Amino acid sequence: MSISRREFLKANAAAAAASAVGIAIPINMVEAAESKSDIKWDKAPCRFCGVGCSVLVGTRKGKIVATQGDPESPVNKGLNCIKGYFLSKIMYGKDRLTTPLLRMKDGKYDKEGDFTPVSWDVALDTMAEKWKASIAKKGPTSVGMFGSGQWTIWEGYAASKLHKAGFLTNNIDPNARHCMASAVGGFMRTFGIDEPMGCYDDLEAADHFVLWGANMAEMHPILWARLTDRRLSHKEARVHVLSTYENRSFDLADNAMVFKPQTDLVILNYIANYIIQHNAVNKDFVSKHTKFALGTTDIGYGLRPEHPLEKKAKNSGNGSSTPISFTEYAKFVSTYTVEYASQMSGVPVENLEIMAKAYADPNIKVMSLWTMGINQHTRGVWANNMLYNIHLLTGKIATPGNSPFSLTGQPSACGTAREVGTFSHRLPADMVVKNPQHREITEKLWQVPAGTIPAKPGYHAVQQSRMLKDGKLNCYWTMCTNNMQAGPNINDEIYPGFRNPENFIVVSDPYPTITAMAADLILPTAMWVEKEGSYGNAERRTHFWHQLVPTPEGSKSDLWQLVEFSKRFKVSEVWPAELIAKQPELADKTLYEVLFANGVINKFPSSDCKGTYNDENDHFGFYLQKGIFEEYAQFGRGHGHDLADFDAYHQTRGLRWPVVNGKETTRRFVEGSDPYVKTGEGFKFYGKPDGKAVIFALPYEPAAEEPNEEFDLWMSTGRVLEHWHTGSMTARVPELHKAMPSAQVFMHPADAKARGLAQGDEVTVASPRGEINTRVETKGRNKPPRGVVFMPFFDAKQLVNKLLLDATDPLSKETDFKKCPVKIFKA
Amino acid sequence: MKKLLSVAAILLSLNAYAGQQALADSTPVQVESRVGDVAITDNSPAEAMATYPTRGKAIPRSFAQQPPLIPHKDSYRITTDKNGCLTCHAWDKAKRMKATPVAKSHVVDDKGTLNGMNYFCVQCHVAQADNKQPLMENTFTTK
Repeated sequence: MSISRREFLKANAAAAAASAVGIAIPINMVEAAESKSDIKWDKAPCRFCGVGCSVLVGTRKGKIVATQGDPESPVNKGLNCIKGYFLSKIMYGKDRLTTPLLRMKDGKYDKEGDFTPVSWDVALDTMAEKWKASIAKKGPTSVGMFGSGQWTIWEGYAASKLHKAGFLTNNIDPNARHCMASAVGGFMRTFGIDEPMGCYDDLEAADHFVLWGANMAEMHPILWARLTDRRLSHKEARVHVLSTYENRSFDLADNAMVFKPQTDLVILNYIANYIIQHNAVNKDFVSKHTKFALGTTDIGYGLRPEHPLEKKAKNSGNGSSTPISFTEYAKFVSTYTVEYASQMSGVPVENLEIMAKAYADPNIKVMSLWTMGINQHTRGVWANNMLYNIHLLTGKIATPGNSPFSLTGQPSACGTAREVGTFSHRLPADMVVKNPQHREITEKLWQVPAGTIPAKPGYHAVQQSRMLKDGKLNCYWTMCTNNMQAGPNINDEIYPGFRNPENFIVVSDPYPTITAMAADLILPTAMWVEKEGSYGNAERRTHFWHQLVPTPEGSKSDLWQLVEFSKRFKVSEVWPAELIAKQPELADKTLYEVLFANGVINKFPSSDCKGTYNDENDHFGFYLQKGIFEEYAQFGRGHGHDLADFDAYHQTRGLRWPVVNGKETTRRFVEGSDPYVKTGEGFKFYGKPDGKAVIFALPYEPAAEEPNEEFDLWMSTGRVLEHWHTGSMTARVPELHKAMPSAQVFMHPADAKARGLAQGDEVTVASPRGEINTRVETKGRNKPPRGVVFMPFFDAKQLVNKLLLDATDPLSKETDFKKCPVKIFKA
Repeated sequence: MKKLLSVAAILLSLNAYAGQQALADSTPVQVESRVGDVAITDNSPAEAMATYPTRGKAIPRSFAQQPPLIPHKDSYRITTDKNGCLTCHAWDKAKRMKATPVAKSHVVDDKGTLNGMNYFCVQCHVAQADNKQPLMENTFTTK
């Protein structure tokens, strides 16, 4: 869909205003303005974070020549962050890969060979040969895939179906395991259905905002802009900011709180206790719509079973709970007094009470916001549950401005990873592989025999790395992610598996990332608007874009790669005889015919596509994206996950599900907004069979590791404003690179001085698992307290994740990237 | 750079092959990540700390819709009480300070009061290190 002239003029109002006020316009801009008449403008969601801004993409002669904020978007209202403004350049790094590259020696594949250009047919045939041999020799659990919350919906769906119904393995997991798995776990445990009940509109409706570890000023800049606007324009607005170090979000804080790592659990229970002690429980809401449960404790740290911490844990990985009464819950949290919370966290009593009062006051609308601080946490699911506890006790939920809001990291962690169910334990629409009914529903919609989908969850992200190292996972394909830089414990648990001689590793990427460099086969990949796409953002907004430019020479989209790969397998080559016996007519068919050209996905003609380009249409001969969408949408319609008609998403700036009778849903679980809540019900948490959300009694438990005499500093890792994740795209934009060229270690000046260090000194940061060199920053945008340091992970020259332990939340399997004891000394 | 050129040359020759044949006789290419020729398990020395100029002239935009880059350091503090950028860029100060005034699209009145959405300038405007070069050539063009 091209935008209208009216929209275009509105979009250019900023540029026009700039010249009206007499600002000197640099020469380049004048040139661009003069030639803009032949620019074609289309909409697309931003390629980066989970906020899901819409951008206008200007193209001419098959190239992007400009990008700008989309004024028609209800998310970003015409604004972008610095990364979003420079989307125009992310596809044009000089080192784009242009041909498949296979490690070869003497004209043959060789694990120790050098990267050699091969055709796509040679690349995919070589892969298929490896996959078939591995499945024949060691079974379907020896193959697997690592995908992405940056995949489009159809890419995630195709990948999941290919593995779960084609290769008969659940060994597929997205990098969303590293960022949103604990949020998912929290939602499923408390509400029985994934994703936020509220939406971004709450930013303009709330009085108080509480940031639980989230540094929105850098990581969710457009939502931060909206929050800032509310703070500056609404007299009663206040901002509470919690973090383990002072960051840019503290610039707006009315109540700034720096707490000791892991003690967020104590503060959360303190607030619940405060609400109870001050008679602020919304009794009517609590009695009608909630119930209480005591969670199992001492659950370990998601490490290898032989790790001493895992052996020591009484209930390793146990997510069970038992029902309790309100009185028992009140008694459970009663020990979390303000004195105890203050002593444990280091936050002054006064600040804790100001925050607790805001939650307890029935006249203050509170929006809580969190992301990786809570999710990348060895008790991340618990922390999510404990946040919902506070909002449920007070009934401050699902109404305008009363909103526990789980911010999302990636652009389609919600739309693809979570909703499509690309996790090793999930199926579409919140279903799970363990549940026989869920498998049956899925197998029927996929038209495959009963018993096709394995009941056992596959290897999750961290387990995939471990199994590659141990030689149990042997054929591995990663797409749209850079785990050699982004995953934990690189030296001990990731790199060895990639170079294990038993394994064949394939990496699909537009650029030569370090993950690609460790692979055996690299597949050059079309990105962003080089393909038709679909993302789902943090507020349940599904949005689409058309392919706007031709695919660059040699590159293919992830979707093309997956579907084309499926043509190389006959059912009889990968399915056991007893499964084929249930539907013998499938034996000689290819996986492509069974999974994709199945009468549903190949139903829509290419002519249905309104875009200028669609390479998959041209290659496969039908509207592949629409076919996948329609098959997928069947899972959610009528089940609380209703999606609109396919074309609606190309015509609008996205719609928030459930979309029923063409109408999107702003707030779920509440009468009048959510079509699934009947008149007179008020609220209904219909994800649970009895319609009641669960308030969990869960304690503080310590982090997996704490600083000791040798490794005497806590280190937290994370992102920066200027770069997206590992910088594969943003580091190739000259302006973003020059804004933030290298990572540093942010450190308290007194901690630096105590080690004989000064601002800018080169240092070694070391943990028991590795060392990296960086420079000391004592005056930068992050100001840690004594005993804490922060390092971003975007810099491929400083692989900070080498230092991390691969400890995970035992329930969500999400790594704690925030608490690693290190030592620092002059290099 | 030399290595990159060799990739390009080989890829060009590859196009001539077109078709299904296995390229068993093709030559390996030098391909490397943006880190360069460093093993993943090795520890690279730290690069020089980025430095940002105290003052500078407006940097030309590379396309019309791009937010202007900051031609000087960006460490001016912005809080609810005071926006450090406005010390020079406020409408009533810009001329005297020889600075670009805040864009009209960012303000809510005729005095140049900033819109809340645009309050934190550094979300869209960033400084440029004066001791660093682009990591990789970028072929974006408005032509």
